[in-house]
Amino acid sequence: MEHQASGNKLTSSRKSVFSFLKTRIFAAVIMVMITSTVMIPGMSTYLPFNQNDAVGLPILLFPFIWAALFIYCFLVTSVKQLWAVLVSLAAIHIICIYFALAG
Amino acid sequence: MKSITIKKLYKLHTWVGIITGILLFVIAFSGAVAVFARPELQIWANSAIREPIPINPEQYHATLATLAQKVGPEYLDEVHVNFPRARSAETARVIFEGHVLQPDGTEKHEGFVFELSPKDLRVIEKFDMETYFSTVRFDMASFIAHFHADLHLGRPVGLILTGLLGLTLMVSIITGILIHRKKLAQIFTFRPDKSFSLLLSDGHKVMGIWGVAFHSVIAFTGAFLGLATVILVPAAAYVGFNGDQEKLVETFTAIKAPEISHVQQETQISEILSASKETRTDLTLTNFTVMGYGDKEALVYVFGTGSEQLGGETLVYQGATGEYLRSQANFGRLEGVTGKILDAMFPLHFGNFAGIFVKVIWAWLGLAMALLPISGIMLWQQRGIAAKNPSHSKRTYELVGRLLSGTCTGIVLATSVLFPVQLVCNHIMPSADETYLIFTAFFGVWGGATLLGLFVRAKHSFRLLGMMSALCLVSVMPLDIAFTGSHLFNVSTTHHNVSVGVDLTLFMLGLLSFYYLFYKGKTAGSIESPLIKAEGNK
Repeated sequence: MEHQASGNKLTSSRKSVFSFLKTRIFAAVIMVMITSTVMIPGMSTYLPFNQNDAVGLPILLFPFIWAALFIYCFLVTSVKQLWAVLVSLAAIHIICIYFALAG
Repeated sequence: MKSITIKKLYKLHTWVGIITGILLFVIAFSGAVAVFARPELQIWANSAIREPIPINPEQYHATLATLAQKVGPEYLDEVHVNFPRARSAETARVIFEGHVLQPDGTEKHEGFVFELSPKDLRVIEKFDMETYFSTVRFDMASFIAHFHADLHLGRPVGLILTGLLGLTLMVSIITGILIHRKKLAQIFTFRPDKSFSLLLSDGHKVMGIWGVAFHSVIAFTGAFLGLATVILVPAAAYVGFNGDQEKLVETFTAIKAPEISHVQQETQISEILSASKETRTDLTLTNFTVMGYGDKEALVYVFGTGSEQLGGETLVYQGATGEYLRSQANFGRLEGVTGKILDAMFPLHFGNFAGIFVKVIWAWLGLAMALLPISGIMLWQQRGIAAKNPSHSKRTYELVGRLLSGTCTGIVLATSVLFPVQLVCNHIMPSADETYLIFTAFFGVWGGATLLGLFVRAKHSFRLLGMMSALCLVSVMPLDIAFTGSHLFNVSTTHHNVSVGVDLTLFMLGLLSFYYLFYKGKTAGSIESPLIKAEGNK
């Protein structure tokens, strides 16, 4: 089996299932953890529940959010779309946190 | 679903499984054993608590009064008492805790811990709180429980690792469900005698599909329990509690401090414990806490398991009068659904909510979960070797097989070794700290087995390590009889029901292992793995 490396895209005589594999792995391991973690305090700022549930439910949802984003990293066709989604989610929730802390 | 999507999911399922497989086996296997760590194995490992120890309310009342005099009034803000033979205590333990105001206005929790003889509550040892909780001391039961929780890598590293494994297990479950579309036919398809590859493939699917509810619950609760204190709680406290994690934890925990009146009045421990025992015979009392001991406004919280509440029940009493106030669940008393879900987390993960029968089911399902990644990795090997254009060399597949055999059979052997080691430690050095020996035995054997697996063919290392494990297990009962004189035929007088039950179970498991390795292993020769054949042809 022959391999030719071209940037992040691994091409071979047998076609790779994932494009930009290294980028996807980086996003799945690092960016998904950051985004999921940031979403916990972020979600508590807008969930329409009592304080206990507004704090507790995001904690309980964390494993599902992480798993969904992790799988998404490898299923999505466009890597640009992947980064746009992860960065947007993180940014929106950071903004929510900022406004909640700033009062 | 598009075929390219199925392909991606299959690749993801494969690689997540290969990368995390061995560690997942280690965690799942140790978890299956740890189901019985508290209290069954703890009782077995500690001779002093092998027979049932009834709770004597008057004795606890008198002991607390004496010790409270010794520690002084500044350490009576919280008094925590653990009964022996309960979930996690091999002795009776009393903690006197005071909230000491610091110059910067914060409160520091200081105090003393007394370890008491389980039967007569005589003081065995006294520690200050900080020293007690920073000192590591394990018998084999607490060793296995902690190994499962954090691999003895310390916190936060160990907890993060096990928490991440829970998350990756969730990914494996979700992708596994999505790629096995013909699930209904597959749950009844099991062809162990046709070929080794079919044995692995059918076994992997049957264990995965039949156990999917259990595996999902374990993955979710395991991820939560691993990551809660290191990532989730700090993150959640950042906005809601302005970064004050302690305040968040206080909000969710059940024990509320009363308004201290500074009027002295005796706390009615004897009356309260008697009332709890008599009125709630459905509960197994494990511990109680007094908030404001010796004060008129003291509150007493008596905790027990075995009721309809999944996570246990707390009986609350007015300390000075002994008046019963209410009963509450641990988190379920909180407003909203979070509390109810949190109450279910621990019992659903540990399987300790409905007696020994459920624990046995949890242990078997835990073993099935351990076999899932192993069967998956072996399937990957089979398909790789049999492929016309394999992705990796035969040498790579062989090495993976050897690593699998050495590490996984090694952990089984290392766990089995702990039982005779514990008995020998109890016999030779009854009151000494066996922690160092337990650690050395476990990690020494595991490391040695892993190395052996790398240099010896997988088939041989599996049989050798398997037989050594079986030998360890069948040796436990004779050793226990020799060292303690406790056995099945005198259990009616000794009342060592739990420890004799453990001895018998280990003996049966050892015999079953010998049967499988000697008899079944020979008759399975016709469906020998191509990998093993390839190794043999060298």
